[in-house]
Amino acid sequence: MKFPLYLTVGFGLLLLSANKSFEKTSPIIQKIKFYQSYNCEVAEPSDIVFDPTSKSLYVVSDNGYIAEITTEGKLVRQTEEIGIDFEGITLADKGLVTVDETPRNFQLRDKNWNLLQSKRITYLGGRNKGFESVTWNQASKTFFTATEKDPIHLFELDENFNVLNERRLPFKVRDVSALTIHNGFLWVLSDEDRTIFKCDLATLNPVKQFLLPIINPEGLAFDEKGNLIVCSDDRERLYHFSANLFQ
Amino acid sequence: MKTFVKTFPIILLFTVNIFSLSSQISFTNGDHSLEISGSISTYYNYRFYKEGQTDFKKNRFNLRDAQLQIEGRYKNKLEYEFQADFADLAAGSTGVVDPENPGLMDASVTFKYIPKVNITAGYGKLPYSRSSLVPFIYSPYWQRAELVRGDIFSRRDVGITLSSSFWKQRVNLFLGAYNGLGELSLRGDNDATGKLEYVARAEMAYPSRYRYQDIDHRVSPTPMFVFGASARHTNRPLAPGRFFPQGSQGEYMVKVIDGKKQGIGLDASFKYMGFSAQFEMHRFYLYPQSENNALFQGTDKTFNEGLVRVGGFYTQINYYSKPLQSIFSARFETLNINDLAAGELRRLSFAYAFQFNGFISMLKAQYFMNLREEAIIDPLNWTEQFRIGLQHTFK
Repeated sequence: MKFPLYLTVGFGLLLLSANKSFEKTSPIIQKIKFYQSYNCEVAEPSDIVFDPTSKSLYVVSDNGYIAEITTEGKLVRQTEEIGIDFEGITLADKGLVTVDETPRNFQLRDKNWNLLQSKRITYLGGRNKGFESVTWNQASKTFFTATEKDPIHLFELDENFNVLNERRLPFKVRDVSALTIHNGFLWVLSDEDRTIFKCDLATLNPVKQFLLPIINPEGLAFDEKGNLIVCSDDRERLYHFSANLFQ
Repeated sequence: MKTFVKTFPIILLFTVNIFSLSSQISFTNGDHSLEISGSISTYYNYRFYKEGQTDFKKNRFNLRDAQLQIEGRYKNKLEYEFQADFADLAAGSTGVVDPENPGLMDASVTFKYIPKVNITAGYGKLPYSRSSLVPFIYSPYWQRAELVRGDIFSRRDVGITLSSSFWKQRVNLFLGAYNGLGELSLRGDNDATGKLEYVARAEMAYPSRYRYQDIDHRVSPTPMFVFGASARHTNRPLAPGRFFPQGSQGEYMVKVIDGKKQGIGLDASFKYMGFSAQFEMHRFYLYPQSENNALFQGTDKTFNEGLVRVGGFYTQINYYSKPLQSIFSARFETLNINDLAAGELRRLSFAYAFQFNGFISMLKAQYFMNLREEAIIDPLNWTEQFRIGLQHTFK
């Protein structure tokens, strides 16, 4: 049997039509390598934030607890199971803020884990495609939070978790697994694309992209020297990248 | 062939006009969350029949999926799932049950109250065969390999499954007991033997846990492997004058047998930098209680030793191209329905999927080519087949 000509032509047309998706060109992707990795003593870590006071990391787990670990991944202390599926954590002026994806719950706690404030934000997207990340913008005293995928919404919240603004990312990315603000830029981590997008805070346009050699990267943080730390959920490891890569 | 020429441009027209829709919807009250998802897929099938054939009924459009899925979760303690396919529920009213795609696909509850062990009760997929456990929406193919489609062994049943994960979810263990009539267990009663079927599975992945997906759509930066082994056992000797429920024995009459049936399966999957590959083999040992059972193909006991072997393997290689939003795949499969009958099915398939929006919206095309067939037991009236269609899922 000969393979039908119209099939070949048909597939060709389809592939050409796909070019539309690539019209919006992005900055060149830079492949980066970590200089050290450590086992993370937290099961299924889904986001991390660096605390410059204690020089440690706060981690949230898919299994519903928060932990404090060293930057080498050693467990310092942890909570009981206090949530369902924590996906984001950040350090704000008033304390630690976590986002629990399944119940759409934002919670503020002090560093002794005491609950200070809690608010549920209705979002009807997929149960496992809800709020995946949260970060604190010191300059504007607001939070950025993003839904994971299908679709990706970027929300800006005030200090009391009231929605101030809702936007879409102006570039193509399959999912968002973490956000952080560092050096005046918004850093967006995509798990499925294994890419970090360094974005302009006002326009959200990416100015640089970094391809990670990591399976299932779910959280990112910068330490006091500007070194990047990325956590892998599936591998339960922390990866350290030199600050020189991001200057 | 002329029909194919006429219909293909219509299919293409549908294809280029498809656009992405958003995904599933969920609700939560804080402790209990509920999610609604589903999928719809339609394909056009064209067979290249052998000369002399006059029945071309398989050249047609087919609504493969019209699925609705409801998944719920109460804190971290309980999960439940209900999944139904209305396309097959409608087809089922005609008395035909497609084991690969039965009307009711899942109705189960998983209890997570005991540390380290989950208990799932209800109707759903059996922990047997990796291919069977991979959701179809993640496949570029329109049909699973013949060996794992559900006519040799049941893919779903009513029963209870214990499961546990270790070593950062790299090791997963399953153990279960089921009615043993597969999809026909939904009719309520067991067969006259009242016996159960027992299934076990173990799998180990490295360097991290390995999800039930064949395609490396994340373009893994590190080679990833998973190996699995499955086994099942049932012994259902019917008393004289008793029969199994109609349809429970499958297309080849080996799915449920009057006697003992034991099966083992091995599977492996690999992915790295967009490339992925799967291998899976199964061997079933059938011990019909009667020497006159048709499975013996009329052979003498001194020849068959009271044993019939059924089995085969398939191997598949895939490549995911992110820039092209495409999946390319090739599969080779074999199936020996009865080792006492001459012949063996050997089939080559190629598949292509174009992702309009990831796995949510895809154009899928599959080409089948029969290299050999088991002519005595399952003579085929076609040599090649082409299937093309669209799949949209709000999962």
